Amino acid sequence: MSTGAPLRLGRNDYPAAARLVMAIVNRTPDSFYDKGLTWAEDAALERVRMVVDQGADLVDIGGIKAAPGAEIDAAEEMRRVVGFVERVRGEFPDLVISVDTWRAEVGRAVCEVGADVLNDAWGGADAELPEVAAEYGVSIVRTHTGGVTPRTRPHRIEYDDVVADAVSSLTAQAEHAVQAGVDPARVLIDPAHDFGKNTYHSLELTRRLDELTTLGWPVLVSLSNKDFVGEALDLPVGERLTGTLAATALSAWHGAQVYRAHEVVETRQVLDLVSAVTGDLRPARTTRGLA
Amino acid sequence: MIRAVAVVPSAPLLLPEYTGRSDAGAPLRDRAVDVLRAALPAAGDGGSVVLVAATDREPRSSRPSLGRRVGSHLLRLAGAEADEVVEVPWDVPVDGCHAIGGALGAGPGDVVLVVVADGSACRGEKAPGHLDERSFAVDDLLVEGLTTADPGRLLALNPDLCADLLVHGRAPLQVAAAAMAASGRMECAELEAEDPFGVLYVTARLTAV
Repeated sequence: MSTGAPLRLGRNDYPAAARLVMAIVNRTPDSFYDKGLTWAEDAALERVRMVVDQGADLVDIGGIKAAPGAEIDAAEEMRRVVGFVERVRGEFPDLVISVDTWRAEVGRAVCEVGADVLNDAWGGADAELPEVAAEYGVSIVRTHTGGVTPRTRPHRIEYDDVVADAVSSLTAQAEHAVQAGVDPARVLIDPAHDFGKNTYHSLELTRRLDELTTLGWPVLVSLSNKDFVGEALDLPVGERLTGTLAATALSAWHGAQVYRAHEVVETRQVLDLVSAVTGDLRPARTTRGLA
Repeated sequence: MIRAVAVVPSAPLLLPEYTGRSDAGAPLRDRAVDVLRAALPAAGDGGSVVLVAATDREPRSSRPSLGRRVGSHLLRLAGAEADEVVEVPWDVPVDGCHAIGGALGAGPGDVVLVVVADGSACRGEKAPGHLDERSFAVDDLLVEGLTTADPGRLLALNPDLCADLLVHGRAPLQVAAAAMAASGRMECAELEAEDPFGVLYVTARLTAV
């Protein structure tokens, strides 16, 4: 069975064989990996410039860290991201801009200033978000969290079959988005490693990702430096790049199309190598044995 | 009569199936095609195009030889195709080259020979055959033979030494030399030689005087 699906982001159409890097840009003071490195708006904008230069296909701007912490209401979230999205759009008219939010009112505000993708990392916690995507003609990411409350850690969750649960949940969410009026090519599904899952769940989803990539929806994976990588290798944040890239390669082999990542250059290299192996991308330059 | 001789490389990287996203062979391919366009007969001029290439030294596939495929591809890019292909064993002795080339040079009608040939592949430590200092004298003789359009120098290339140095063009060049000797005096109109990957590539055009 073929993997992947046609994908539309912003004004761009991508084939099923595309493997895109979505660079993480945090407008947060406390995200687990960068710990506020791009909290200042100018620093965040500088990161956008850098990742674009490094070859990122799109950026994912977030105003709230995923982990539990201080309550960030919609007004504060909008203060963090709306003006920034507008600024990025002004400097990069053609860049695909995603915003990581589960709130429909935040989604509406960022779409007003030029966002192209609503990355709903919390599994449809706000049922109105697909309607916003439909209204503005933007893309939306549907995620599998097992139905947990946003910004909570999994605690003793078990599934009969985590992949089957993800297939069921993501199919329903994707179809709901289409019913709400979203272009099917603008609906992505994300198994959401670590979200509502222990490490065994995330590893199994990685191992069986082909069961998602053959559903007919483009698959996004968010693997970068996550706990399942750290627990698999017993490594702290800051030492998980190699493990992340291994999971990236496996996901690429299974046909995932968008990779939410902190390290753009390394991710791009892994994806290009997998694409070269699968025959979707010619090698960069070839002389060995051919001179 | 041999009206012109065009010498082009036989590097596989000139073929589309071996070209990466960045085309390492682009400048060489462009030069080869330019040489062919200049050497080929104009439409309506008559004459035939004969492609001379060597068999693969270490054949492991059922495909046509790389020399034949590269030569045919370059000819297609130049807007032509060979009327005849002469594929000579890569290790054919000089006498054999004399016989094949002599017949070509003494044949009726105007002929453009397209010779697919490289010099040594041992011109540096990163070269396919590593560095062999003997390469430079052999390649100098090869280039001088073409620059002076002197069949004798080309026929003086030693088959065993050329085999040691991975000179893939020795046999086709000696076929061309024998054809030139049987046909009439020629002169070199253009020649460029380079070894970007440790292999000597020559693009040259010789014309009848």
